[in-house]
Amino acid sequence: MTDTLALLRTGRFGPSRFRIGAIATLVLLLVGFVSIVWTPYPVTSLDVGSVLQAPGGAHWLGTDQLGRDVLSLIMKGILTSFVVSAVAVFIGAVIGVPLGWMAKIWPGIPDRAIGALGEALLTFPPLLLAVILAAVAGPGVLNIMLAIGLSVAPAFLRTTRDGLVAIERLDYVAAARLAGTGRVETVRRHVLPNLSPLLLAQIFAQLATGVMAEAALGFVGLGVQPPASSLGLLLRDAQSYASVAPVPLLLGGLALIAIVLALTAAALGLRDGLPGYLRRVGDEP
Amino acid sequence: MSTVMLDKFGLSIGGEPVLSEISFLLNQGQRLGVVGRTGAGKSILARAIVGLLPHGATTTGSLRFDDEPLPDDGAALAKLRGKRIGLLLQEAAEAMDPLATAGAHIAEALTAAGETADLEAKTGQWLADVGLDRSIAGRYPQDLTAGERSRVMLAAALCGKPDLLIADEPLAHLDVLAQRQVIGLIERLCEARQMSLLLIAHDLKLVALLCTRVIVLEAGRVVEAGDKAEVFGRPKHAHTRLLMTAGRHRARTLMRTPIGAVLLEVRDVKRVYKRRDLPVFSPRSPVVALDGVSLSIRQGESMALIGPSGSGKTTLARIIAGLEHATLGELEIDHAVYHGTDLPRIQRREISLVFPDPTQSFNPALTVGESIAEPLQLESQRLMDELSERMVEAVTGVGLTTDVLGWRPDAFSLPELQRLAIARALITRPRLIILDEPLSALDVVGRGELLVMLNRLRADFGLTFLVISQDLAMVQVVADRVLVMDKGKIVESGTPAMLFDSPQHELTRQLAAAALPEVGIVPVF
Repeated sequence: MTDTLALLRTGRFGPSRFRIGAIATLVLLLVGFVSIVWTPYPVTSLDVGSVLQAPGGAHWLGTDQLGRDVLSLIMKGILTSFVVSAVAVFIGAVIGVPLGWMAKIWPGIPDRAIGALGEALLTFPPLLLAVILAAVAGPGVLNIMLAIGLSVAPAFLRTTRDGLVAIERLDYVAAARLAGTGRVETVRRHVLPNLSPLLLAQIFAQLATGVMAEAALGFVGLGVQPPASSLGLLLRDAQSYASVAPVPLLLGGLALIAIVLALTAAALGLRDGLPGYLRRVGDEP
Repeated sequence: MSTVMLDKFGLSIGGEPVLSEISFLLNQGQRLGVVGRTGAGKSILARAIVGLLPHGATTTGSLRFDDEPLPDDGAALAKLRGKRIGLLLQEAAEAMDPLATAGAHIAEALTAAGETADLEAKTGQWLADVGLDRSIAGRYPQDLTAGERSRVMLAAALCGKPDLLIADEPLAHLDVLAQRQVIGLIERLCEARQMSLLLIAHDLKLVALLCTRVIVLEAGRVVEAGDKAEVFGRPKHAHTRLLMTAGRHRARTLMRTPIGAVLLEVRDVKRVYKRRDLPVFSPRSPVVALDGVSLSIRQGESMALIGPSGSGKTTLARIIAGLEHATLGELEIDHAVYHGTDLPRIQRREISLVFPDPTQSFNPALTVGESIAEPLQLESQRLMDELSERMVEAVTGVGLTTDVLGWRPDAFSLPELQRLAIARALITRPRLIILDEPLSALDVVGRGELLVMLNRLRADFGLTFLVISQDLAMVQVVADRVLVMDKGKIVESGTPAMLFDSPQHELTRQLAAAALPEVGIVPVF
């Protein structure tokens, strides 16, 4: 890990895109975390007396059709987006990385079989997976985490496998073998530090995918269930009242765009810093 | 009619001047060579002429194509590049679309030039013209070698019948035989179509062969320009003279270590690969990389291994160094018999391997000191003091100081990095150093300097060399004995002088004939 940090410090990963993306992500994450301990109003408090209020006054960003504070909803929604997406990406990485590693160390039939499995998974959009899971186990946040996790796993599988292939072909790995470095030590010293920036870039990219998928699933009612809140739910409610109160729809959408852009910028920035032979690893075929 | 005219053209990127005060005129049918060291600004000049500039680039002076400035509009510029200017960039081979076959790249260029009939036949013909098999049309970039990729891209650049070809190091990655073929093709097309040529190369011999006029760049400035005969015959600027003398390898030293007993024996080694890249159910005929190679290297000797790409040279080197395993046959060093990867740990420090591309032979996450010290773990019984002494010895031996050891690989230039790679090879005080195309990544000046250093190291440390090379000029300077390899077999052996003066085997004859002629008036010593 220290080697990876050193690599990140070389300056190759310095420039604008990664920094802007990472800082924006941190700010949004902070907003999400603040919502755990404090929101302007509790999101579960319905105030029938003040529904669909315009921004200003007691409610800075207005209220929705049930009289809930829109700012509080967005703050909670950002948290939900990050948490659901992070758990899903964690699931995807836990499935994909070891499979990719196995595909690399068992060339031939196992490699092809794992690759085919990944491609088969890719043909299911997360929405379809979630619908199937919801049909079997009912809608709910755990199911969509699993559905999104399964749908991002192939990306991790491919990144790990192709990244390992690209790195192990390099002369410095051969040089380590010549120098009598053992297999495990070669992986620890030479392979992992150079693979991890690639995986980190993939994590940011897939977090963005996860946030989008979570919002889409919430929007169709398969994800987080009320009274919990998510950006997808917020958008679904808001679009019914868009002609009367367009502000929640607009702001909810902007929050979603901000998260996705921040994560994508960070991912692309990290990728810019990668050496050429790794830059296209893991791209969709 | 096409002319390129630069008048006091300058370019800076992010405020840093990269090119300044460049003026030249290239008329239809003329051939201009741009020479200079790595980093002199040659490649960026080629990109500037076709309007491919990085972000943050600002230009001064004027650049006109056909008496008009380059169009601002991207589509018009792309049309100009597709139809009028054929462009072969240095990294073109790496910029191929991984989802398109080699044939599709050429067909796309043909279509862009307005030729839509008989695409398949024309594509095949172009592949044949650049010396490739027609079957390559159906293959994807990742299944081609670097040399094949660069020739596909050359075909794509030429097939639109451009008025001007801009070629940036067109011979990189090609073996000497393919180089000759490409030179012949470019020359033929220039003659037949009155095509203009802007050739960028660090190798003066290539420019002398193909061009009529030359400009010499140093740090973004033209230091000398004129007729080929004038510039190379009576070079005025010191930088031109440096480039010229560096190209003529005269590094042979009189200091020699005596040649001793046999150090390494290779006995009837075969290496057969199973192909893994084919579809599961297709028949797999094994690939024979080495087909019964026997040789012996004596202590203190310098042996060269030459041959076209794919002849098995690198495979042999990797088996000797213990990176790959021989399918049949055996090797012996110091009375220890091995077959490749089973090279005993004690003997591992007797053999070092230097890789062709120094940028890939250092882990970017480690300091060069950590990389260089890595082989020291083979020396289990040494004291710390002695190990650090070894570091100093190796690094000063290659002409660098020890304070660079804490830096990371990206802080070094290519020649420095290759020196450090050699330092790593020296650290265990090996007896045999295998050098796999050690000069291929360097420019002429870097090559000359490294050759001098190699010969000095050989004398100072009493080393035995096994040099793999395509560069016959280099072989003549460093090798006592040369082996010629073809299709996994050694077809001829002898001293360099014997082989190049009276080659027996057909391949040796071709290799000797393909060497580019010397530049300018060769002084008599």
